[in-house]
Amino acid sequence: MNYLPLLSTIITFVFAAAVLARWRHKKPRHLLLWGIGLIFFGLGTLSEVILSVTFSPWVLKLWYLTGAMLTAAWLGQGTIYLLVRKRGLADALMVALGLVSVLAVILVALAPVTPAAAAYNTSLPASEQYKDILVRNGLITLLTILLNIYGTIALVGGALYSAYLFWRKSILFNRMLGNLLIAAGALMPAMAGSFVKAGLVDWLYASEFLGVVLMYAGFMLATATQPVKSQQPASISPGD
Amino acid sequence: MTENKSKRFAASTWTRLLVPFVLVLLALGLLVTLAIVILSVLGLTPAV
Repeated sequence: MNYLPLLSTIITFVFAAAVLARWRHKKPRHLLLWGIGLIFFGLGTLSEVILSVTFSPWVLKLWYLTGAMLTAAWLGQGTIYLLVRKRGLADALMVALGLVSVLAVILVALAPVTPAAAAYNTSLPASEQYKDILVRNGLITLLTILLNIYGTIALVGGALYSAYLFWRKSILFNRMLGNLLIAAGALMPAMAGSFVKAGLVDWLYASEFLGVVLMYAGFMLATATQPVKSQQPASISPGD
Repeated sequence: MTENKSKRFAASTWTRLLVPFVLVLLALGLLVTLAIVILSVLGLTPAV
């Protein structure tokens, strides 16, 4: 068994629980979507744990669907809800993401598995073997790329934009630093996933672990309570 | 207004210089990631 995905899974589900516990108070949509995105992340790393013990085509499909297709886009959609002030635009993007996600589930569920599955090696990462096993048609590949580009730009770009605003205004140091950590953490698995898709160096497991640790630290820092001297509400609040 | 002032931080030299550097570095990382995705779509990477 590979212990790095196991650690990533535990941290991710604890992180998701913290986000969803915070969402329960005022029910802001961005926290719900981040929570869902983190559950996808955790299902992806949990699939890696299972695939390091035994092979199942359905677990491989779950790994591809959650890890390669849905996680970044749903996390990014949370950031869209946080930063895009035009609610209609955010809702329209949410509807589009929902439809594309349903299509992705159907396509991956129906994707054939090749006879190479019989030779699956549990001691090697799934990311090194899935290309020979899971048949991905052109539409699956296209959706994977679009979902990842959308999610990565929204999540990493949104966190960088928020950090820049706090830095420029010299306010809320904890949120500035928290957003930098979130951007760095989100970038790691996104970059590693791109490397895997491109057939370059495979450091996916390490990037997932470091990425979720940095994002969790960034979230805790950005949402930490600061001493308040006044009862006036803050004017901007990326990082809530 | 009052709270924003209370939550202001005095930017040290490190903060003034290091934060923009990190921002640029991460933005470049984002661009590299997107570039790799596009190159892989165009078949210009070792991917099968």
